[in-house]
Amino acid sequence: MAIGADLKNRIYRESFSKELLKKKTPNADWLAEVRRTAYERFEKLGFPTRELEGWKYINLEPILGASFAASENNGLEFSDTRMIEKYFLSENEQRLVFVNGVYSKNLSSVKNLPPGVILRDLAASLVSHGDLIKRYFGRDASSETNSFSSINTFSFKDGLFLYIPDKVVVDSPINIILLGTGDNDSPSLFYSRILIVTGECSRVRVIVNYAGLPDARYFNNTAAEIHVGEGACLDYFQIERGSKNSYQIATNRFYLGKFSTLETLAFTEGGAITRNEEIIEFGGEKGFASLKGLSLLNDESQVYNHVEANHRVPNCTSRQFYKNVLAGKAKSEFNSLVRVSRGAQKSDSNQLSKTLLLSDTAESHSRPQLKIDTDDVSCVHGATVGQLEKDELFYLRSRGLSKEIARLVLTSGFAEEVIQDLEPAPLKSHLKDWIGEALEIATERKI
Amino acid sequence: MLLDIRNLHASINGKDILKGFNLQVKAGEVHAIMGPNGSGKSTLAKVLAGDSHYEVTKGEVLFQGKNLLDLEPEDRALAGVFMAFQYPVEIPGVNNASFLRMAYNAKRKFQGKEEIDPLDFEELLKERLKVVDMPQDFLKRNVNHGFSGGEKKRNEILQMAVLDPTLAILDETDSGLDIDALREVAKGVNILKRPDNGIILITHYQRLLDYITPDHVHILVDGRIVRSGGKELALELEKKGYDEMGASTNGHRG
Repeated sequence: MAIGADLKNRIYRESFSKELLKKKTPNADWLAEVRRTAYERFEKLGFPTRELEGWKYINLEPILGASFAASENNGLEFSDTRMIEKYFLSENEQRLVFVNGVYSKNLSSVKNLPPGVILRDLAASLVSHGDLIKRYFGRDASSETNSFSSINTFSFKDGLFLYIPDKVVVDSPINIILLGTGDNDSPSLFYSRILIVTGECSRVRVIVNYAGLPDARYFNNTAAEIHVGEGACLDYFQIERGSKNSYQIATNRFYLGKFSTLETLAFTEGGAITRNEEIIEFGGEKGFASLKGLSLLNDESQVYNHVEANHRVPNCTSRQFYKNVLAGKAKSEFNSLVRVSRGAQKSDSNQLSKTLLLSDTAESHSRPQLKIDTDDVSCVHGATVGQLEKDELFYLRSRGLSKEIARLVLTSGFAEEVIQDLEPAPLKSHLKDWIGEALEIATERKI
Repeated sequence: MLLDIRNLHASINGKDILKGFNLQVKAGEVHAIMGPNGSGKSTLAKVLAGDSHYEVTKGEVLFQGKNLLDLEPEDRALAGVFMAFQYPVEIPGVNNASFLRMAYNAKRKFQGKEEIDPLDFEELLKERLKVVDMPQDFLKRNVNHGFSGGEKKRNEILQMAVLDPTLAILDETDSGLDIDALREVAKGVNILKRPDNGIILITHYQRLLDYITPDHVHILVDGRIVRSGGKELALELEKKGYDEMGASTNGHRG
């Protein structure tokens, strides 16, 4: 791993010094400074090693050792809508498609937005709205703890910018499709950068599809900064259905204003390695965040869900509910920290993770943790790992369902509990279909 | 003969529970099996349904002339045996109506019939819901998940009404029910009673028999029937208690 890391280190450094330092973004000179900060931060952090708690179980060798080359200009000729149709939710959605990290105008469709809403690719937005972006961008660049996020900051070329003015409700869901197209001969490496700023009492629903062409080999390093305004509601759903050769590391920072509500979902099915880091920063009282996760993994797929909820102010509520269904040699990790700062009274948190093992070779780690520096809080956590309950199987079989169907019904029920109240309806029905398909394969394999 | 149980011995974790149990049930009959705690009542129900926790060490069970013990639980159900659980299992994430439809269709398939049209099934469910007097939203909830004790028991009777079994075994369906719920459940059972099917009521108390009249009453003590008689036997038991009735046998753990 050390050799891979050194090599990669050099590649990043070269690409940084040669291209990015010299590059100027019109109307956004400040960006060079942020990039430099991020690079310095990365130099300090280095690549994560398994000695670090947050990277203990993940083998980065396939990412650092492979010859992923920055390939944001590849795949731009890709225009086959049929290949991405399965990620479309509805006619009325706002759709933005990025191919290997670069915005594809041809595949996207943005229309009838309420006045004042900005929804466009980040590269263009930096030119048109540089000053606005500056106020929110790279806030934690100098204190970043995730190297991949730092790398994203000094390397990204494009991404998404969404701005919603005060009191604006965006009815149509915003569907972002991040498509990877590399192959074994030239695996692609790209950076997706997302900045979302929502105004007071606004409301919007964002769905991010991490997608890949079948058998595509790519590494998508995503970093998102999401600012939820006072009293605003934001849904942020990540749907990760990468190819079996896909690598996906996402770092998402959520800054929650007073009385704001955030709901997230990380749905993962397939992919070689998927790591999601969700950082919640409560910046005002009475914030509410509900984070859910559902991973359905088979073969050698791995998912790492890391959550950090920082209750810095009083009266905020955070909920975490993560479930995994693991077959084959799949592996999952739930590593969650709730931190309650001094003075953050009446903080209310719940961390729950449940894993269903369908095979003897699957592996699951669960570490809900609490750091509490104040009194008068309610912090609950729990984790279960197990197989299907014999009593439940017998109950279903005693009603005439075969052993195989009973297994499938129980497994689907276990999984679907996570999305039971999910909206919009088209997303829920998509997920239900995918869960059905994935589990039919996973349970049959075990039978 | 609907059901013929001969010299049945069964154990769990090496411990003998049923020790030579005999019972014959004819079509159209309602049998009540009463006994103190630990007498083997629930073991009997679970053995008949095919619970693999229990091991049958001796004896045989013929259902309509076929060896029931050779069949997997699902095949017993498809053949027409239904057990209402004493403790119905909660299944989060599985919708009650879809579960009922799956079970109903499994039976249709077994009978060589086509799957029922979803709309037709909705009609059928509406009809059967009346048996247990439950509101429609009962169907939208997850199977037994978060149900009260009474709701779970009603849900068992609803399943029974939908699956229309030839032999129904009700394992302490009356336990934990208040008198209104008990009456509802009994009403459901009475509606489902027909000349061509049989019902075995397993109960600790006589009170269920105030609402469902059995043709035969058996008293089970320590894994064996110690007395059989008509419905008057239950009343006698109510007066005297298990100690006196089963006094001649050893090892009862009432």
